[in-house]
Amino acid sequence: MRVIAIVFFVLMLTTAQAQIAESGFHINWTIVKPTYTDYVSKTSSRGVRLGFTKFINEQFGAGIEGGFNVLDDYVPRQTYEYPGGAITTDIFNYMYNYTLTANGQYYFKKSGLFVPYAALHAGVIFTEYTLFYNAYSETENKTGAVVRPELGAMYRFQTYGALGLKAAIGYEYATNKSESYGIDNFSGLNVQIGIVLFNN
Amino acid sequence: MHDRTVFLRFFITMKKFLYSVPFALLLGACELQPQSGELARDMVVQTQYDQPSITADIFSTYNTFIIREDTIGYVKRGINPNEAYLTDGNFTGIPGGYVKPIIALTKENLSARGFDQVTEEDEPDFAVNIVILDDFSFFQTVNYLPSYGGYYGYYGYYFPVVNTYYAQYASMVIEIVNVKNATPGNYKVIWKAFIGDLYTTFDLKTKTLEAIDQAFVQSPYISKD
Repeated sequence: MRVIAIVFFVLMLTTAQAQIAESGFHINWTIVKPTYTDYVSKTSSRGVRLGFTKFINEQFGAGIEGGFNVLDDYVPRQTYEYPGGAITTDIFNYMYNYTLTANGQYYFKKSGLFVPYAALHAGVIFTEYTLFYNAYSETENKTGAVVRPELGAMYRFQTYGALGLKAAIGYEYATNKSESYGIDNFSGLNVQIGIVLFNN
Repeated sequence: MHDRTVFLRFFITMKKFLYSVPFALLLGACELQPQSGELARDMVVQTQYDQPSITADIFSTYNTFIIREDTIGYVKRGINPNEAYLTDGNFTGIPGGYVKPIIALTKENLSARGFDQVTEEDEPDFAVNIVILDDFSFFQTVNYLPSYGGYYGYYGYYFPVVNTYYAQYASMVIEIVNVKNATPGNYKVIWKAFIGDLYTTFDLKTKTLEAIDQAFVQSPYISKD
């Protein structure tokens, strides 16, 4: 019994030393390239993500993340006809996305300062579709589900150091759609670069 | 001791991190809306027509119209109804005036579609009414404003003007009102054009005139032929 306890204690110590850290906060600058381009097609660098990760052991972690990004596009001036009339204007399509996701992470390396990982995020997305034309605007809000598989890496500057870098690429798919504007599910590729604050 | 050191290092780094948060948020928050200069490039032109009238090809039955020569209507909440109109005297800063060029271009478009301007005594087939709505919304329902009838009336009829539920903009409204087939007290607006915003444009006169032309371009059914 004593031997089992000692072995367990040693294993725990080994695990504790090998895993990346106890937890970490990150803030990432996010670039999004839409792959569904009917409403917005321009790549946007106006995004930010804040998250917290609990490193469960040397290979698995879990976390939560909140994000925001804005995408836009310009539709040149044209005439739209409808029963009973027509309207001529240019339009600025804007899409504001707010996400809150939970995630699971798998680390490909069990030790070292450089830790590549794969993650799967799932959660809710709140989208605000806004059309700006001249001094006028109209908005429709939709809430849906979002999933984001992600591949990335963390680099910790020093063993037990608090500061690190994080970079990732991911693919995002959201169930949000707008029937009134004829907009289908949003999807896009994203690149994130940011800093991580490790808590030993 | 080691834990305390790590905690202190974490705390110090966290402070630096927190200082960087506003910059990151600023980065993420920049250009969240289009630039006002881009938005005001051209005016919005919306036209609406009475579907039964257009289906019946009502314009082919018209020959003549009436329009005020030197004034356009002006509606703003709280304005004295006796002052509810504008002349070029209200636009002294615009070379060549604003009101007369608007009226002239409207007449020109109607003439090009085969209609002749006449006076009230000649019993026109339709009347054309031009109004600027100040602090009024763009998309609204049409209501009657009898209090403004002192200016807006022809034949004892009070033109409908746009009612507001949301004040912010200045729009020009051009209406074509059926006179020929009207019964007393029942004058129907068969076409209207909304042009705006007049506040945010950088070239009020040029952009308004372009918008008036566009209103007719997107309304090919306004034609004698």
